[in-house]
Amino acid sequence: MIDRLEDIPEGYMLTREGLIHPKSTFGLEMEMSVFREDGTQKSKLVQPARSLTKNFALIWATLFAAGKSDFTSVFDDWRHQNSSDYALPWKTAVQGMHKATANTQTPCILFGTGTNAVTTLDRWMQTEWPITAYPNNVDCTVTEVTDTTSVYAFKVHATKTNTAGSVDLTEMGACVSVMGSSNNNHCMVARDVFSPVTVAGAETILGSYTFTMTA
Amino acid sequence: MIDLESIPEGYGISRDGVIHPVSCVSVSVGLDVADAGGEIKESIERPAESLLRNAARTIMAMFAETTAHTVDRYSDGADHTITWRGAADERWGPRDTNNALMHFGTGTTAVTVRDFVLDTNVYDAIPTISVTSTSTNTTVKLTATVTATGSATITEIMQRMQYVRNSAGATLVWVVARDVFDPGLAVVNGDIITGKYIFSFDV
Repeated sequence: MIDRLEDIPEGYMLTREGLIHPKSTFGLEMEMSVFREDGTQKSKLVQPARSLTKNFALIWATLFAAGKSDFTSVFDDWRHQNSSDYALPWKTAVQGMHKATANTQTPCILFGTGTNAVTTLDRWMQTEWPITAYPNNVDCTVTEVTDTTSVYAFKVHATKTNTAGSVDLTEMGACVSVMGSSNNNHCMVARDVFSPVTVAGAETILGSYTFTMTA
Repeated sequence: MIDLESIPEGYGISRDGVIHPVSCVSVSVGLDVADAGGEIKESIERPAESLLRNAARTIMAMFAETTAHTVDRYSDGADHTITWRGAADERWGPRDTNNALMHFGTGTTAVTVRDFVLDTNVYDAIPTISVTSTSTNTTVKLTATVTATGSATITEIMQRMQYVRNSAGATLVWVVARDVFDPGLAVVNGDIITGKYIFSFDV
């Protein structure tokens, strides 16, 4: 039982449950805010993100694979929503992190109404909102938040106005765009499930992920 | 006396009294020294002090739709721009001919998120990469090994990325992690030094 702050080991932290966790240099929080039609804020949910997916880990690993002929990662494509693996050997000039000028598969935020628990193996949302034909994604914007010698933070965010009836959102995710061996693919790299956030018609939602690096 | 109920759900308190989110990503750094026969003499593994601004901007670039992002070039800190808005600049990533080296050094300057080079580079090596995965965790482990050619006290470790931005082959090199050990690990000629960065992605 830890009673005093000085008993918490350097580099670690004490949680509400009394557990000791590493104080990670890599922080990730999610936000889901709702704004009324007149622009005033109706609600704001902020919590630590539950998961960067295996897809993110594979991309991250691949980014260190320069010069490696023996490393091949695979990822799962959100757009096609199948279980096929898409190789990311990234050994040729045509492969890598991708954004073609005339391509619709831009990095994006996804919203949903599913409630299945998050796993690192998630490759798409349980129930995307709105339920229409692909794409349901909202192109995201990236904004620098903090830039000091001890903290650097940025936010990936997107907004969407509800043009239908009231909905209770419970899921959020994020995709990046990757060029595999021959095709450009959307790759879901984060998914979170949270308590219902009610969005009425004509209200606007703001979804974001904030990445924080600390020294 | 710490009032646990004052700590928000999903957060934790560090010894300096600051509230931090319990992250779904933990980063550990390790440094082992073994003798020439492979017997471990000393070993350190602990939470990493820093992923750098460069690491953040690398991830920013993944999500960038139209904007370019700048990282600090390895060695001199000059700006590198990660962009993909031109016809020939549509993608970036590692290529066969470039190495994402792990470095070992003897500097002691405290880590900042703006670091872009070691204080004093002594050795470097290409890390091996392993990925293991379950439904609740994916772990990416980088491991690099070098053999000491003299006596030194290793106090720094650093990992870099090295990309080619497009088919034209412009090479970009930047550092994404740096850690300092106090005390460091003493090595002598013939010792085997192993460095590790472990990225653990949890649910």
